[in-house]
Amino acid sequence: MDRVKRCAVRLSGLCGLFLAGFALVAGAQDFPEGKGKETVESVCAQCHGLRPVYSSKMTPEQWKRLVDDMVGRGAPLLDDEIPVVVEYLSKSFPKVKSDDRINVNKATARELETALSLSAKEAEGIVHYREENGYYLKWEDLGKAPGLESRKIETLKDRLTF
Amino acid sequence: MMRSLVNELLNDRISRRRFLSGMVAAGYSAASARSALQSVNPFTPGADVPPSLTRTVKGTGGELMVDQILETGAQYIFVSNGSGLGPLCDAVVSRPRLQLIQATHEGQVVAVADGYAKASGKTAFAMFSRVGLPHSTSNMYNASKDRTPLVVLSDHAEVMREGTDSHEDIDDWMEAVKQYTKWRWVVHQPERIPEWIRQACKVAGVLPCGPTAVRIFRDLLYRENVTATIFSGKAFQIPMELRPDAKEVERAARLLLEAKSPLLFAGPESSQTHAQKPLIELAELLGMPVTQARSFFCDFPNFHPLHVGELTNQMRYPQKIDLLLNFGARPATGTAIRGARIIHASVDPETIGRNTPLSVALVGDLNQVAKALVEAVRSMASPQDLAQRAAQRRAECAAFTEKVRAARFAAARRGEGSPIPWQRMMVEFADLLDKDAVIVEEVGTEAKILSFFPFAEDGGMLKVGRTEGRALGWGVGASAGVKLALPNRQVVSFQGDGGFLFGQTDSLWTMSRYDIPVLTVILDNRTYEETRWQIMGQMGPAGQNNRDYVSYLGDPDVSFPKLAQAHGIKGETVQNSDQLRPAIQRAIKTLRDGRPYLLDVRLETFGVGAEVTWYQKFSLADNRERKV
Ligand code: HEC
Ligand SMILES: Cc1ncc(C[n+]2csc(CCOP(=O)(O)OP(=O)(O)O)c2C)c(N)n1
Repeated sequence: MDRVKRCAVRLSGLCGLFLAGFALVAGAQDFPEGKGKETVESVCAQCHGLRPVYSSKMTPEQWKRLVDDMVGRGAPLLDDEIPVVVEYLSKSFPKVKSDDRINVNKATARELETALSLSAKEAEGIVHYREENGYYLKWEDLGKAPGLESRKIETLKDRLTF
Repeated sequence: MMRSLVNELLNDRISRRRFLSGMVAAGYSAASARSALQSVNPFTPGADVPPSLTRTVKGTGGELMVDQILETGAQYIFVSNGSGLGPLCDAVVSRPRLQLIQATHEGQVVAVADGYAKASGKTAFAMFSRVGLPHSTSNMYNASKDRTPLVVLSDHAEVMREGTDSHEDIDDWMEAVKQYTKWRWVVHQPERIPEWIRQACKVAGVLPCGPTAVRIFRDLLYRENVTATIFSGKAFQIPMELRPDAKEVERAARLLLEAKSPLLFAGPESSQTHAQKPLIELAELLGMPVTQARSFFCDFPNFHPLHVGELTNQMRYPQKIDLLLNFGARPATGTAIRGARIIHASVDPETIGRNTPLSVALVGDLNQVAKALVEAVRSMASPQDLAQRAAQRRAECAAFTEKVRAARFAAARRGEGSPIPWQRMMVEFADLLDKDAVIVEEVGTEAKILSFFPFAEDGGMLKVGRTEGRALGWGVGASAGVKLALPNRQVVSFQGDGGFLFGQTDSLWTMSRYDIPVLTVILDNRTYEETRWQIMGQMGPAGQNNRDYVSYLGDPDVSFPKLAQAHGIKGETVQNSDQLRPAIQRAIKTLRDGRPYLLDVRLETFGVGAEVTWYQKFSLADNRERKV
């Protein structure tokens, strides 16, 4: 979010009209160096500015699909530029997998289920309790969620953020 | 402005001289004003009207209404149910030439009529219950934004009940549709029913076109032995082939020749005036790249080598623009290019220069304007000179557009699997549809359609939609109207799953009832993607917390093929890219056999919120105190 605040704010002229949500444009200096940087800066800013680009974090496969999608929507990229752009975006804006931790106050039931290998019922219990009673502050709080054994929570405690 | 002047003249409220000076004051050239006067002239009160243009008819108010509608050349009247349609039904018994096409509610009546008018270029008539007017307004708004010629009729309270605040009545019905209509009238005298219908039709159909509304007291529609004058259709066709001012054309042509990097910005009015042929000639003559404005048509062949796509604020090609020729687009959609001169051509002086400074204003019929510009450019430079100027730009531009298009198709063909990438679906359709198919579309990003289908007035595909008003709930009805207008062309309509559920699945009823073979394709990504990206992409509390309050569409898991089936229409769900081809082929065969079809194509969604199935759950049943 820092990055968003730092960047120059201007209306992305014409397309701001229909992409009002993406009206912020990043200052070019914010983009990491690398092959493909210039192409991304010039092509990807055309319709919506660069904010949706740098605020997305995706796996290489996801970036590939997204770039193909944008090309379908009219992004003027040439055949040999597409893989370069995908590689640049994958390196510069990767899905953060730095740790496998998951935010129990923000994750959906489905995300909790996969990330923590819980049953659907346990995951839904976590979400349900949170919705009824507000955010968890520490791992022990999860003990209050219905259907979740405290021993199981303890094994997971290092993988949780709040 | 012009329309009100013509009105005033026809209704004898101003003199011819006042008309001329008013037109000039409104921005028309003296020549255009004179030509307009000439076309209106024979029908001004007191002028000699040849007897062949009128006839006297005696009948019920309803019969007079239908006789006058038929005189305009109308084949259809688009209706929904209401007791106010009684006089129409009675009249049609002896006037079977008028075919009623029914929809299940007023909103879709207007959508069907709008699609018909857009695709046929003719003024469409609709009639529904007096209490149905408010329901019709969303698509009236769409029609007014697109300047579609529609006449919307309804009955009205009985003469002695009007203004008593009784059931089915309010004081000022027309106030509510004022914004969405060019003109509106409540008819008080039975013998003037044809006159006001004539006026409504004429105003709706004169450029810039738009919807008009007429309400007729119900008892006047039932009144018998009314004698009235019916006007021949010819008596209210106003030739609008206004020629632009020659001096202004010359100035514009000079600027076009002088420009280092001119850009053509084509908008819907050029299609409405069939200006595409001279416009292509002009662009080719100058080697001028072309962009498409937001428009319910494709106004310049989008696969033409000079067509560079959408106008953005940082074009890759051409990089610098020193002159923008806005040809029939409304100005707000991207005409403020820094440092560029602007020429704006339109028949409507109110549109020209709105919010943008101008170098030249060209007022006139755009077909005439394009022809005049071609002629002027040719007269100012020798063929060799022109060829030399244009050659390099044309070659550069063609090389660019060809490469971009090839990359786009290659990327689209790479997409596969389940759920299906939308662009893969589009290329499959592009491969299989007729070369002159008609695409009716109401999808979020217009480029999804423009990128993959070649549209051209002369032998190519035709695009109708999305509306410039963008109020969802138009496309399904509109596609039925489009097919009625163009029965001999394949019609395929593309709808988002969200858009489809905007109160328009009802038009499957109309398609089924009248055997209107339209293929409806649902881009079914189980989300309102565009709004999800906007709302959650803001990364406010909802985005940060993965809260998708209003955009998730997977619960309930609506079965669109079953919805079609309930209307007697066959359909199927396509889950995987491998299944696309055979499914499209089955659909095309069904259309050939004369029935509509529905394809529910499961498409992938990604980006912010894509995996979120959370919404603010609530079960009223669980909150009851009594299980009743
Ligand atoms: C021709 C116009 C155009 C160009 C050029 C373009 N995009 Fe987009 N992009 C869009 C549209 C349209 C949307 C959808 C926005 C909406 O519907 O609100 C979008 C949305 C996005 C999103 C948002 C998805 C989400 O999760 O919210 C991302 C990320 C994105 N674009 C990245 C890119 C990248 C990277 C490039 C350069 C390769 C690019 N865009 C070039 C038109 C374009
Ligand atoms: C009458 C009306 N109400 C609301 C909107 C706001 N709106 C814009 S896009 C959109 C979502 C469309 O969803 P869908 O048709 O599924 O297409 P997708 O965004 O998934 O491509 C909505 C509701 C609108 N355009 N018209």
